[in-house]
Amino acid sequence: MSQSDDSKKGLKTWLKHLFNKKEDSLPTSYQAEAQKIYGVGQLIDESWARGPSVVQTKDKKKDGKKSGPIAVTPPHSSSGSASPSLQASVRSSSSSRISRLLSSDFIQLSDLAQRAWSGCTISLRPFVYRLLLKVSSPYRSRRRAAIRQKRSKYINTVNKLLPTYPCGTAAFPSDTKAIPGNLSPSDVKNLGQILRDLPRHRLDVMAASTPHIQAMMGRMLFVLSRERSSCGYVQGMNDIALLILSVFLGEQCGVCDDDNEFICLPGCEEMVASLSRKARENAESDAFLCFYSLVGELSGLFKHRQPGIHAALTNIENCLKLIDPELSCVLTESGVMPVTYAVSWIVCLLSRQLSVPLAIRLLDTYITESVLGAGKKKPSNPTISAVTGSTLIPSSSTSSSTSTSKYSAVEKESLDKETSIPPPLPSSSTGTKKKKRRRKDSDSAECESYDHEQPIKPHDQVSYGCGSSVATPLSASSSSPNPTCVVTPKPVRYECSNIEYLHIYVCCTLLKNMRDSLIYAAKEEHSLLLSVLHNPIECPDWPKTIKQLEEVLASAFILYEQFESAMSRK
Amino acid sequence: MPKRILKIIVLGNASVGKTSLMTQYVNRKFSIQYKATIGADFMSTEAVIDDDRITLHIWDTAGQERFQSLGASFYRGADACVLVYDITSARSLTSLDVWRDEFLVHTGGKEETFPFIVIGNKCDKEEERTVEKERAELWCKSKRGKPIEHFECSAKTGQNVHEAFLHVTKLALEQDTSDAQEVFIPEHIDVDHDTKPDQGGCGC
Repeated sequence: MSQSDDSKKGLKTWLKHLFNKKEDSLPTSYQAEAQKIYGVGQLIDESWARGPSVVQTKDKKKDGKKSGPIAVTPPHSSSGSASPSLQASVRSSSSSRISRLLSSDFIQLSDLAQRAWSGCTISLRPFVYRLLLKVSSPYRSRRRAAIRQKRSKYINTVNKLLPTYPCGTAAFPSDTKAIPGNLSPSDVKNLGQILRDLPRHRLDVMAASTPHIQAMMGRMLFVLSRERSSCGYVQGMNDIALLILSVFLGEQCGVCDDDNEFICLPGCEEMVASLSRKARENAESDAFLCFYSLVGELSGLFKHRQPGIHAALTNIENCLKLIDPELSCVLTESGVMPVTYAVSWIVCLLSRQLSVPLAIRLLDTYITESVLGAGKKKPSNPTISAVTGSTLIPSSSTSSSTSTSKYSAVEKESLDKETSIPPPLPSSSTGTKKKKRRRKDSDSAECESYDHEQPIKPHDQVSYGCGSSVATPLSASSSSPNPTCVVTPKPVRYECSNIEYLHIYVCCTLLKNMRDSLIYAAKEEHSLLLSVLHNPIECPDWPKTIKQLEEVLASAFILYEQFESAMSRK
Repeated sequence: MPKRILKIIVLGNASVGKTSLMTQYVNRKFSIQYKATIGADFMSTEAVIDDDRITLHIWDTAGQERFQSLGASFYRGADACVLVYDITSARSLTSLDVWRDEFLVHTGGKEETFPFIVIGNKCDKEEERTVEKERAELWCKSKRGKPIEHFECSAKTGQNVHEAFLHVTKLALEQDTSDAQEVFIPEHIDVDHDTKPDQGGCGC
């Protein structure tokens, strides 16, 4: 280990502290935790508020220089090679490029995904999510009618299912018996579990226990458990649903880029309560639609026997063996397999191990990955029926709610500011795009087909949008990236989706980052090792800022590419 | 002095209070807002029994049925098992059969001798009680071997929690010594004559 004595000592003290600590293992606030460990305030907030100001660009440049060899890279470019200043400008310009893209009549989803890979601003995010998750249409002309239809489908489903607890209200049954009509036994079971889980939520998000948000979550989860009956309701879904709901409530409430994530804002419940019913309905249905679509991408984690989890666990173990044999060996010798700590990392997409802004940032990349991956792996299968649209261009088209127009003003202003930044590296970015592995040549053809495809099926299981992507088998994944790392599908043969794949590499990168702590802990005491792995948020090497997370993503992506090229060579 | 490590598994339906019980025992704290456990949570603590310091590794497993296929991975090498039901939910008591059977199948433990205890949690909610103490005790006696010890606890007030965990620790210790000649699970047997906690393999 190349650690200096000093830092070793620090590590030792920290681990001792962790070991001797007899406190509640759940930190009351992740941010407070970050402050405690790093002695800095507002760490997360500052880095998160990636507004388009020039000042911030400067800061980022500075940060970029300080950071190690791995720096944030534009989507799918050859990472690490660009100079820090270049990277900084890539990032600051990326949102302006996204918004330019969003204002065109037709949006190439793969282009959008590439640009959004390195994250999007709070105000652009809802549009990007709706598009990438096929809730909205890439054609501007179709968006409004289509999104209206999808929203009303959800609202009608809720009305039929929960007649006395309509969409957009703060009402939700407190008991499974409170619902009229015949619920199937599995419905009762799902609803019962949802009801028990609603009041239990992450401790740093107090807003999640307020009536409106709870009722919205309850309806989303219950409808989902019925619409995706192969998955039902699985604990952990609620953690992801909350993040997505936060995105769309933030949109309706007009959260601007400088704010924290909506769900973290003080008084966000009051903001929700003061929205019009229509606006709340829009937020809830958009959140549901996106969530529905995302769960489709992750169905392996949730469906019966959860093959996705088993595959991920095996893959993490195998991948770690390759990227850090020493650490892998230490863990194996201690009898600590990924199953003992990584299940909740996998199921909740790390949302329990990261602060809300970081978890949403991670979601940004994962969602783009679904599009990029699908493009690559299924080039000739234009089955995705993205039929709806929302108001995608904030300034021109508007959805029916008044709050959206309020939001539009904010958005427009920020766009103006952004475009004043000189657009950097057009050549390098297009160059990397060309050799992008996921770039799909048939993209436009596929998108064309949205035009001709059955526009809107009124009552079809698939009609929320991404039906085709439910458990999409992807070709490149079941066999392992390397001959020595054989994936043994446990009970069910399963091929990870693209999001699941990237997630595996993210988990491996996080482990590798913590290697010194882990190796030290393993030498010290078995239970110390387990404690570290079960409370990674307390580890100094765990990402606490957006920048740190993006570094993790960049390294994870390098792994992803490495393994994939090893595959194709084979 | 040889340091012993015991692995204790906490099982039971979702929301019966497994995490709360464990946290109450280890940290003497209670919160109504534990997130649903996914996979398993781990806590370690020390217990002193007859002047011996015992390290307890307590594994709090996920209660949702969907996660049961993973649960089995945590059972391996367990020294004792705490079955938890909720006195306000009759179903949570009847499910204990399933949990116990599942556990025995996966660990290969002997039904008659493997150390179990049963905890009826939430006994502070007397007015909502649907499971009478007698009924639970009947369940405990209905199993083969010695009757399973039954405790009514409250993770909220802390009532009886320490007693229950202390008892299960004792059971596990007894079992450990009587099993000593039979099967070794290397992960949990420390080298007896070596004072160093060095990670030496099995010294026997």
